[in-house]
Amino acid sequence: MKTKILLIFIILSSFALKVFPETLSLSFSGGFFFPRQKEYKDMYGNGNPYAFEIRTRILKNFCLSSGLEYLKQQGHALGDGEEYLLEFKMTTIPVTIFYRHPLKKTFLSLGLGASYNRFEEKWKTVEISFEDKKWGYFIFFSIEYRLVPRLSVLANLKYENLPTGKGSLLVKNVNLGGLKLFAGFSLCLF
Amino acid sequence: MSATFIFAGLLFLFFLSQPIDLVKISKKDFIAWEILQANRINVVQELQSCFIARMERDLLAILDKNHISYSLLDRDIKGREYFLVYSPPLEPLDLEWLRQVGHVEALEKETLLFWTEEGDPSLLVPPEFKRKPLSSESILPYIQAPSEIPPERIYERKENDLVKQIVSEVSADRLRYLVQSLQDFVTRYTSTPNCEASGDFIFNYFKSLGLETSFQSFVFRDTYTSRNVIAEIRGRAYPEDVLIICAHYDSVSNTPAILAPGADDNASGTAAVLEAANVLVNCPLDFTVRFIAFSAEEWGLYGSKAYASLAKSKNERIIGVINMDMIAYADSMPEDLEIIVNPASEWLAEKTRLSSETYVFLGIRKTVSSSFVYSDHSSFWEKGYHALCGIEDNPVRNPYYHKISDTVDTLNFEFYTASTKVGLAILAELAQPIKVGYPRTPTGLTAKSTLLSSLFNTVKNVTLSWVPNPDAVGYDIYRTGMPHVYYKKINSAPIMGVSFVDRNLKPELSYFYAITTVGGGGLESNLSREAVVLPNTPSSMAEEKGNSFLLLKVGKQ
Repeated sequence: MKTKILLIFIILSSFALKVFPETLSLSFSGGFFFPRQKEYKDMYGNGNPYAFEIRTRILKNFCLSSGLEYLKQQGHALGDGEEYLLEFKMTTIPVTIFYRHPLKKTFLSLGLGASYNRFEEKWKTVEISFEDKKWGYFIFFSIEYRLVPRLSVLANLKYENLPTGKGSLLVKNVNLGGLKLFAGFSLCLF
Repeated sequence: MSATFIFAGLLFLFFLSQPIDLVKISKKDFIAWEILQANRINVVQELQSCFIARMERDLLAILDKNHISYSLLDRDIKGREYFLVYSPPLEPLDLEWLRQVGHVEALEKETLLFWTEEGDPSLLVPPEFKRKPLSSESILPYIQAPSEIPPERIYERKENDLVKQIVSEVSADRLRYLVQSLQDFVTRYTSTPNCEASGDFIFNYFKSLGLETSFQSFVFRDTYTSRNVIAEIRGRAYPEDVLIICAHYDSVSNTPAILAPGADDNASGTAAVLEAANVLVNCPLDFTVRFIAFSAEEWGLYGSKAYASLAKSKNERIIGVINMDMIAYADSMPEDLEIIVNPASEWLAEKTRLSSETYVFLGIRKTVSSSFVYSDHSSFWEKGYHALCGIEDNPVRNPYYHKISDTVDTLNFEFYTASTKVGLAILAELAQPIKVGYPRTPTGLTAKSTLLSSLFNTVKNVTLSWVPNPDAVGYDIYRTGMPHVYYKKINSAPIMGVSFVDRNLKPELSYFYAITTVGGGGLESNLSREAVVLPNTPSSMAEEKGNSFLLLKVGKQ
């Protein structure tokens, strides 16, 4: 699976590089994930995802980005009596198309995208686990400030809908979406 | 003025009330069952492939909306009576007769529905036709949800010396004497004095054994009175938990008021019940055993219906019912005994098969079918009790069935003795003869389940607790997925305390627990009463969510 994800990432990145070599930047960020579903929140609380993205300009102010996001959380099963520890991991490949508006050194971006998500939930003390892959979609907003010609700081905001169609007796249809806030820096390569 | 108001009120009520239709609903898939449950549809009969429901016309839209296939059997049925008629023994002429006098609808291969526009349809069904009146009460709460997960089946052949001894005491000679005695009443057709006399004979037989015996009188079809005969051996550990072995003692033929010897149908079953009482009478048991001879079965199961309704109204704990109906005719040897159960009672058929393999070696043919409703077991099914019907063949192959030639000389006593032994073996296995010198059977077992859920999985933990037993050095815990059979010990060493937690179970499955007392020298008692943990559904979880789930604030710490 890891190889597949890597392969998709390389293909997308090289595609972007080949077609739009004139502007290419990399970004690294970390932040907060605020899940939209109450049960998720009760079990795992808010999360701290990390993201790596590669961005390219495709037409005037329109850009395309793709990358990898990773989220790992510890939690507790909900119910009576004993405490059961849980672990949740999600790897996401987002593809975003957005409009980037320059205001001197500041850039505002607004867009939407789709994400391919692989997630896994494990009960740490019992032999129970669940693994699946699902597509989600999101809206995207970003603000970027150029510090020096090739280095910027940025803040991203994403609101995602990721219905899984799966669940447990407690949650019939788990939605892994929610609000993601990222802060990081961006490096312009070309 | 007031008359005008009354008239207006009645008119208003008339327009408010919906016409009720009789509907056959296909049982093809799980969805049908769920939808009927959710909408509290008045299902009055379950058959193998369909449900029969009395439905207000407006409710048909629910079936349409959910794409459940159904067909209208009759419209505006208020006050009309319907009979299910068992079709295999019917000749084409019989069928023609029914068609001439009323309406006939084939519900399934072996089941007809018969009714008339007016009057009492039972008067038009010839007495020798097997029939069952269609109930007006909903049986929906007692219908078991279909399950796609078969319970774990581990074959454990454990011979119990006392059960073996009990089974060996069945006497072919006594059975012959009893069948002959019942046949000698010439007819036992309910409503005849001879039937009442045969009831007295059964009563006196139980009394002569020293059993606590009683009659249960009942009125049927608003006109007739008859009596069930009931005898009991009270259980020592669990007197409130009852096992029933029963048979109908009335008979029928094409000239029922004059001559209906009914040796196979059903002096054979009745004699088996009497013989079971005779063998068990001096045997102390853990659970109460009730021996019942029902009347008016041939009229439409009225005796058993009266009994089962009363038992339900008193909330009696009936563990299982063993109904013996025609168990002595063998069309060829070796003959198998057919055990018919509904899905909820399947464990009884499994238990019978295991008991036969262990003690009797008679072939058992299990049929799980909700459609075989033409004997007294079905009155118990309708009240949510588990019951089996033991019968020599289904469809019936006895050429003397419901004829004046159904006499004792047509019976096969080798097969009959074996089938009686099978009935007794399962009864004794469940009632548990008490072994001298062994620790006492533990009591007070309760099971409480709790659910723990993540986003994609739920587990169930079951906490068992019981009353301390003075004979105990420890306790063993047994678990199964099917009531009373295939128990598997789940503890490696005897449990010292009076509680135990069974962890990480699947919430969608039922679990049944029993415990034993382990005494000095490792002697193990009989099993306790079974504690049941029912499956959890998303709706049951939602109910829990209302209390325990939301009360617990367990998030990330």
